[in-house]
Amino acid sequence: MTMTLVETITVGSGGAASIEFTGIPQTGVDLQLVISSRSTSSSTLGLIKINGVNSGGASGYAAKFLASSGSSAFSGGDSFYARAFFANRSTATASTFGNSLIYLSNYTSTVNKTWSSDSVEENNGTDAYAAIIAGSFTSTSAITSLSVLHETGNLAEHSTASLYIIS
Amino acid sequence: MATPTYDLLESVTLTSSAASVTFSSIDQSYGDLILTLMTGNDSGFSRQNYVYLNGDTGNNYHYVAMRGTGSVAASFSGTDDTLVQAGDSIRSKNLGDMNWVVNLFDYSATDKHKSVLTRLTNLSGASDAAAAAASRWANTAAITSITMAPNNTTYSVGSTFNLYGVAK
Repeated sequence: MTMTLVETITVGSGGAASIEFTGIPQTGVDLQLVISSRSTSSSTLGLIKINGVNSGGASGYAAKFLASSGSSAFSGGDSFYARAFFANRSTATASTFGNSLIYLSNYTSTVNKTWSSDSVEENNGTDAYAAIIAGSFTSTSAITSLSVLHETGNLAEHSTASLYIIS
Repeated sequence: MATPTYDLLESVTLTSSAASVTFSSIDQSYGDLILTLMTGNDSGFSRQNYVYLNGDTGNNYHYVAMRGTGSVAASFSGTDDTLVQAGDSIRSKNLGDMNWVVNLFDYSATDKHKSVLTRLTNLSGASDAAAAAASRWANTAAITSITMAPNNTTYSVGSTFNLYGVAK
Protein backbone atom coordinates (compact mmCIF):
# COMPACT_ATOMS: atom_id res chain seq x y z
CA MET A 1 0.00 0.00 0.00
CA THR A 2 1.91 2.96 -1.25
CA MET A 3 2.03 6.13 -3.24
CA THR A 4 2.73 4.84 -6.73
CA LEU A 5 3.76 6.88 -9.73
CA VAL A 6 1.44 6.08 -12.63
CA GLU A 7 3.08 8.32 -15.19
CA THR A 8 4.98 11.56 -15.69
CA ILE A 9 4.30 13.47 -18.88
CA THR A 10 6.49 16.33 -20.10
CA VAL A 11 5.35 18.75 -22.78
CA GLY A 12 7.65 18.82 -25.78
CA SER A 13 8.71 21.46 -28.24
CA GLY A 14 5.90 23.69 -29.43
CA GLY A 15 3.75 23.19 -26.35
CA ALA A 16 0.54 21.21 -26.01
CA ALA A 17 -3.13 21.94 -25.50
CA SER A 18 -3.29 19.46 -22.62
CA ILE A 19 -1.61 16.63 -20.76
CA GLU A 20 -3.72 13.49 -20.78
CA PHE A 21 -3.77 10.60 -18.33
CA THR A 22 -6.02 7.82 -19.58
CA GLY A 23 -6.76 4.32 -18.41
CA ILE A 24 -6.06 5.25 -14.79
CA PRO A 25 -5.78 2.01 -12.77
CA GLN A 26 -8.75 1.54 -10.46
CA THR A 27 -6.65 -0.07 -7.74
CA GLY A 28 -6.15 2.94 -5.49
CA VAL A 29 -8.01 4.98 -2.89
CA ASP A 30 -6.94 8.55 -3.73
CA LEU A 31 -5.11 10.33 -6.56
CA GLN A 32 -2.41 12.97 -6.35
CA LEU A 33 -1.45 15.14 -9.29
CA VAL A 34 1.80 17.14 -9.21
CA ILE A 35 2.11 19.83 -11.85
CA SER A 36 4.90 22.13 -13.00
CA SER A 37 3.28 24.43 -15.50
CA ARG A 38 3.64 27.52 -17.64
CA SER A 39 1.00 28.91 -19.97
CA THR A 40 1.42 30.27 -23.49
CA SER A 41 -1.21 32.91 -22.68
CA SER A 42 -1.55 35.75 -20.20
CA SER A 43 -3.81 33.69 -17.94
CA THR A 44 -2.47 32.05 -14.83
CA LEU A 45 -5.44 29.78 -14.16
CA GLY A 46 -5.26 26.08 -14.87
CA LEU A 47 -8.00 23.50 -15.18
CA ILE A 48 -8.40 19.77 -14.92
CA LYS A 49 -10.79 17.75 -17.02
CA ILE A 50 -12.27 14.59 -15.54
CA ASN A 51 -13.35 11.71 -17.75
CA GLY A 52 -13.26 13.96 -20.81
CA VAL A 53 -15.91 16.39 -19.53
CA ASN A 54 -15.10 19.97 -20.47
CA SER A 55 -15.66 22.92 -18.15
CA GLY A 56 -18.50 25.33 -18.77
CA GLY A 57 -22.28 25.30 -18.89
CA ALA A 58 -23.89 22.46 -17.01
CA SER A 59 -20.70 20.47 -16.83
CA GLY A 60 -21.02 19.74 -13.12
CA TYR A 61 -17.80 21.43 -12.07
CA ALA A 62 -17.48 23.99 -9.27
CA ALA A 63 -14.48 25.58 -7.65
CA LYS A 64 -13.49 28.20 -5.13
CA PHE A 65 -10.02 29.57 -4.60
CA LEU A 66 -8.28 31.68 -2.01
CA ALA A 67 -5.11 33.38 -3.19
CA SER A 68 -2.50 35.69 -1.77
CA SER A 69 -0.31 37.98 -3.84
CA GLY A 70 2.00 39.10 -1.07
CA SER A 71 0.13 42.35 -0.62
CA SER A 72 -3.51 41.29 -0.72
CA ALA A 73 -5.74 38.24 -0.39
CA PHE A 74 -8.64 37.54 -2.67
CA SER A 75 -11.12 34.81 -3.43
CA GLY A 76 -12.92 33.71 -6.56
CA GLY A 77 -14.60 30.81 -8.28
CA ASP A 78 -17.76 29.71 -10.00
CA SER A 79 -19.99 26.76 -10.80
CA PHE A 80 -18.79 26.03 -14.30
CA TYR A 81 -15.03 25.63 -14.41
CA ALA A 82 -12.74 22.98 -12.97
CA ARG A 83 -10.16 25.44 -11.72
CA ALA A 84 -7.42 23.50 -10.06
CA PHE A 85 -4.06 25.30 -10.18
CA PHE A 86 -2.11 28.47 -10.93
CA ALA A 87 0.65 28.59 -13.52
CA ASN A 88 3.19 31.11 -14.71
CA ARG A 89 1.89 33.22 -17.57
CA SER A 90 3.62 33.59 -20.93
CA THR A 91 5.09 36.97 -20.06
CA ALA A 92 6.81 35.64 -16.96
CA THR A 93 10.59 35.45 -16.78
CA ALA A 94 11.92 32.66 -18.96
CA SER A 95 12.23 29.24 -17.32
CA THR A 96 9.84 30.05 -14.48
CA PHE A 97 7.04 27.59 -13.86
CA GLY A 98 4.22 27.33 -11.32
CA ASN A 99 4.03 24.35 -8.98
CA SER A 100 0.88 22.64 -7.79
CA LEU A 101 -0.26 19.63 -5.85
CA ILE A 102 -3.83 18.44 -6.36
CA TYR A 103 -5.38 15.78 -4.13
CA LEU A 104 -8.49 13.92 -5.33
CA SER A 105 -10.23 11.70 -2.81
CA ASN A 106 -12.01 8.41 -3.43
CA TYR A 107 -11.61 8.49 -7.17
CA THR A 108 -13.19 5.07 -7.72
CA SER A 109 -16.25 5.81 -5.59
CA THR A 110 -19.80 6.31 -6.82
CA VAL A 111 -20.22 9.67 -5.12
CA ASN A 112 -19.35 13.12 -6.42
CA LYS A 113 -15.65 13.84 -6.76
CA THR A 114 -13.78 16.59 -4.93
CA TRP A 115 -10.26 17.92 -4.93
CA SER A 116 -8.10 20.27 -2.93
CA SER A 117 -5.09 21.99 -4.36
CA ASP A 118 -2.03 23.87 -3.14
CA SER A 119 -0.58 26.03 -5.85
CA VAL A 120 2.14 28.66 -6.24
CA GLU A 121 3.52 30.78 -9.07
CA GLU A 122 6.26 33.36 -8.83
CA ASN A 123 7.80 35.61 -11.44
CA ASN A 124 11.14 36.98 -10.38
CA GLY A 125 9.60 39.16 -7.71
CA THR A 126 7.23 41.01 -10.04
CA ASP A 127 4.19 38.93 -9.21
CA ALA A 128 3.47 35.88 -7.15
CA TYR A 129 0.50 33.93 -5.97
CA ALA A 130 0.06 31.28 -3.35
CA ALA A 131 -3.35 29.67 -3.49
CA ILE A 132 -5.55 26.95 -2.15
CA ILE A 133 -8.36 25.69 -4.34
CA ALA A 134 -11.44 23.64 -3.57
CA GLY A 135 -13.12 21.87 -6.45
CA SER A 136 -15.88 19.40 -7.13
CA PHE A 137 -17.30 17.44 -10.02
CA THR A 138 -20.87 16.16 -9.89
CA SER A 139 -20.47 12.65 -11.20
CA THR A 140 -20.93 9.19 -9.75
CA SER A 141 -18.53 7.63 -12.23
CA ALA A 142 -15.05 6.55 -11.21
CA ILE A 143 -12.26 8.74 -12.52
CA THR A 144 -10.65 6.88 -15.40
CA SER A 145 -9.02 9.81 -17.18
CA LEU A 146 -7.63 13.20 -16.21
CA SER A 147 -6.47 16.08 -18.35
CA VAL A 148 -4.38 19.08 -17.34
CA LEU A 149 -4.88 22.27 -19.33
CA HIS A 150 -4.97 26.03 -19.07
CA GLU A 151 -8.05 28.21 -19.09
CA THR A 152 -6.67 29.96 -22.15
CA GLY A 153 -3.61 29.12 -24.19
CA ASN A 154 -1.52 25.98 -24.18
CA LEU A 155 0.91 24.35 -21.83
CA ALA A 156 4.37 25.62 -22.62
CA GLU A 157 7.29 23.33 -23.43
CA HIS A 158 8.86 21.68 -20.36
CA SER A 159 5.60 21.76 -18.38
CA THR A 160 5.19 18.45 -16.57
CA ALA A 161 2.49 16.55 -14.74
CA SER A 162 2.88 13.44 -12.62
CA LEU A 163 -0.01 11.28 -11.50
CA TYR A 164 0.24 9.15 -8.37
CA ILE A 165 -2.12 6.56 -7.01
CA ILE A 166 -2.36 6.34 -3.24
CA SER A 167 -3.54 2.90 -2.30
CA MET B 1 15.98 10.49 -3.64
CA ALA B 2 13.79 7.79 -2.18
CA THR B 3 10.14 7.83 -3.15
CA PRO B 4 7.98 8.96 -0.25
CA THR B 5 5.83 6.07 0.89
CA TYR B 6 2.30 6.33 2.14
CA ASP B 7 1.03 3.27 3.95
CA LEU B 8 -2.70 2.95 4.40
CA LEU B 9 -2.98 2.25 8.13
CA GLU B 10 -6.74 2.17 8.41
CA SER B 11 -9.65 2.70 6.06
CA VAL B 12 -13.31 2.81 6.98
CA THR B 13 -16.23 2.92 4.59
CA LEU B 14 -19.47 2.90 6.52
CA THR B 15 -21.98 0.19 5.70
CA SER B 16 -24.36 1.53 8.34
CA SER B 17 -24.78 4.94 9.93
CA ALA B 18 -22.40 5.80 12.74
CA ALA B 19 -22.27 8.55 15.35
CA SER B 20 -18.48 8.59 15.26
CA VAL B 21 -15.44 6.90 13.79
CA THR B 22 -12.23 6.41 15.75
CA PHE B 23 -8.83 5.31 14.55
CA SER B 24 -7.19 3.92 17.65
CA SER B 25 -3.91 2.23 18.55
CA ILE B 26 -2.25 4.13 15.71
CA ASP B 27 1.06 2.63 14.62
CA GLN B 28 3.84 4.80 16.09
CA SER B 29 6.56 3.90 13.61
CA TYR B 30 5.89 6.55 10.95
CA GLY B 31 7.07 10.14 10.65
CA ASP B 32 3.78 11.85 9.87
CA LEU B 33 0.12 11.00 9.42
CA ILE B 34 -2.27 12.01 6.65
CA LEU B 35 -5.99 11.78 7.23
CA THR B 36 -8.52 12.09 4.40
CA LEU B 37 -12.28 12.29 4.82
CA MET B 38 -15.22 12.29 2.49
CA THR B 39 -18.42 12.23 4.48
CA GLY B 40 -22.15 12.80 4.43
CA ASN B 41 -24.60 12.91 7.31
CA ASP B 42 -28.12 11.71 7.96
CA SER B 43 -29.64 14.99 9.18
CA GLY B 44 -30.48 16.34 5.77
CA PHE B 45 -28.63 19.50 6.72
CA SER B 46 -25.10 20.74 6.61
CA ARG B 47 -23.52 19.73 9.91
CA GLN B 48 -20.13 20.32 11.41
CA ASN B 49 -17.63 17.52 11.87
CA TYR B 50 -15.75 17.34 15.14
CA VAL B 51 -12.26 15.91 15.21
CA TYR B 52 -10.41 15.12 18.45
CA LEU B 53 -6.94 13.82 19.17
CA ASN B 54 -6.53 11.16 21.84
CA GLY B 55 -10.14 11.78 22.85
CA ASP B 56 -9.25 15.26 24.14
CA THR B 57 -12.32 17.50 24.10
CA GLY B 58 -10.74 20.12 26.34
CA ASN B 59 -9.76 23.67 25.42
CA ASN B 60 -6.39 22.63 24.05
CA TYR B 61 -6.47 23.43 20.34
CA HIS B 62 -5.08 26.69 18.92
CA TYR B 63 -5.23 27.75 15.30
CA VAL B 64 -4.81 30.33 12.56
CA ALA B 65 -6.90 29.89 9.44
CA MET B 66 -7.90 31.34 6.11
CA ARG B 67 -11.00 30.92 4.01
CA GLY B 68 -12.12 31.93 0.53
CA THR B 69 -15.82 31.84 -0.30
CA GLY B 70 -15.47 32.80 -3.93
CA SER B 71 -16.04 36.46 -3.17
CA VAL B 72 -14.54 37.08 0.25
CA ALA B 73 -11.08 36.24 1.57
CA ALA B 74 -10.74 36.04 5.32
CA SER B 75 -8.19 35.13 7.94
CA PHE B 76 -8.88 34.41 11.58
CA SER B 77 -7.41 32.71 14.59
CA GLY B 78 -8.38 31.30 17.92
CA THR B 79 -7.08 29.80 21.11
CA ASP B 80 -8.42 27.31 23.58
CA ASP B 81 -10.70 25.66 21.06
CA THR B 82 -12.08 22.19 21.67
CA LEU B 83 -11.41 20.51 18.35
CA VAL B 84 -9.05 20.46 15.38
CA GLN B 85 -9.84 23.40 13.10
CA ALA B 86 -10.13 23.23 9.34
CA GLY B 87 -10.36 26.92 8.53
CA ASP B 88 -14.10 26.60 8.15
CA SER B 89 -16.89 24.55 9.56
CA ILE B 90 -16.17 21.09 8.25
CA ARG B 91 -19.63 20.73 6.93
CA SER B 92 -20.99 17.84 4.99
CA LYS B 93 -24.46 16.97 3.87
CA ASN B 94 -24.18 14.68 0.90
CA LEU B 95 -21.40 12.30 0.05
CA GLY B 96 -19.00 13.95 -2.38
CA ASP B 97 -19.58 17.49 -1.12
CA MET B 98 -16.38 17.77 0.81
CA ASN B 99 -12.80 16.70 0.83
CA TRP B 100 -10.65 17.21 3.88
CA VAL B 101 -6.93 16.46 3.90
CA VAL B 102 -5.11 16.69 7.21
CA ASN B 103 -1.37 16.45 7.83
CA LEU B 104 -0.32 15.61 11.39
CA PHE B 105 3.39 16.19 11.81
CA ASP B 106 5.78 14.23 14.04
CA TYR B 107 2.77 12.67 15.68
CA SER B 108 4.67 10.10 17.73
CA ALA B 109 6.98 12.60 19.43
CA THR B 110 6.55 12.98 23.17
CA ASP B 111 8.57 16.18 23.61
CA LYS B 112 6.55 18.67 21.59
CA HIS B 113 3.06 19.99 20.97
CA LYS B 114 1.53 18.61 17.78
CA SER B 115 1.19 20.67 14.60
CA VAL B 116 -1.69 20.00 12.25
CA LEU B 117 -2.13 21.43 8.75
CA THR B 118 -5.52 21.12 7.08
CA ARG B 119 -6.97 21.86 3.66
CA LEU B 120 -10.69 21.83 3.15
CA THR B 121 -12.84 21.62 0.08
CA ASN B 122 -16.44 22.41 1.00
CA LEU B 123 -18.86 22.62 -1.92
CA SER B 124 -21.97 21.38 -0.20
CA GLY B 125 -24.07 24.38 -1.16
CA ALA B 126 -23.84 25.68 2.39
CA SER B 127 -20.95 27.98 3.24
CA ASP B 128 -19.00 26.88 0.16
CA ALA B 129 -15.31 27.56 0.58
CA ALA B 130 -11.71 26.69 0.06
CA ALA B 131 -10.02 26.82 3.43
CA ALA B 132 -6.83 25.96 5.23
CA ALA B 133 -5.71 26.06 8.82
CA ALA B 134 -2.62 25.54 10.91
CA SER B 135 -3.40 24.17 14.35
CA ARG B 136 -1.49 23.25 17.45
CA TRP B 137 -2.67 20.67 19.92
CA ALA B 138 -1.21 21.77 23.25
CA ASN B 139 -0.15 18.35 24.38
CA THR B 140 3.18 16.54 24.19
CA ALA B 141 1.61 13.09 24.14
CA ALA B 142 2.00 10.95 21.05
CA ILE B 143 -1.16 10.84 18.98
CA THR B 144 -2.54 7.37 19.44
CA SER B 145 -6.14 7.94 18.40
CA ILE B 146 -8.20 10.25 16.20
CA THR B 147 -11.96 10.55 16.65
CA MET B 148 -14.33 12.07 14.10
CA ALA B 149 -17.97 12.81 14.85
CA PRO B 150 -20.68 14.88 13.17
CA ASN B 151 -22.57 17.36 15.32
CA ASN B 152 -25.90 15.94 16.56
CA THR B 153 -26.34 13.45 13.77
CA THR B 154 -24.76 10.35 12.27
CA TYR B 155 -22.44 9.77 9.36
CA SER B 156 -24.29 8.34 6.40
CA VAL B 157 -23.63 5.04 4.70
CA GLY B 158 -20.73 5.29 2.28
CA SER B 159 -18.77 7.89 4.24
CA THR B 160 -15.06 7.16 3.97
CA PHE B 161 -12.18 7.79 6.35
CA ASN B 162 -8.59 6.96 5.43
CA LEU B 163 -5.50 7.21 7.62
CA TYR B 164 -2.04 7.02 6.05
CA GLY B 165 1.37 6.79 7.63
CA VAL B 166 4.20 8.58 5.85
CA ALA B 167 7.46 6.70 6.17
CA LYS B 168 10.34 8.47 7.92
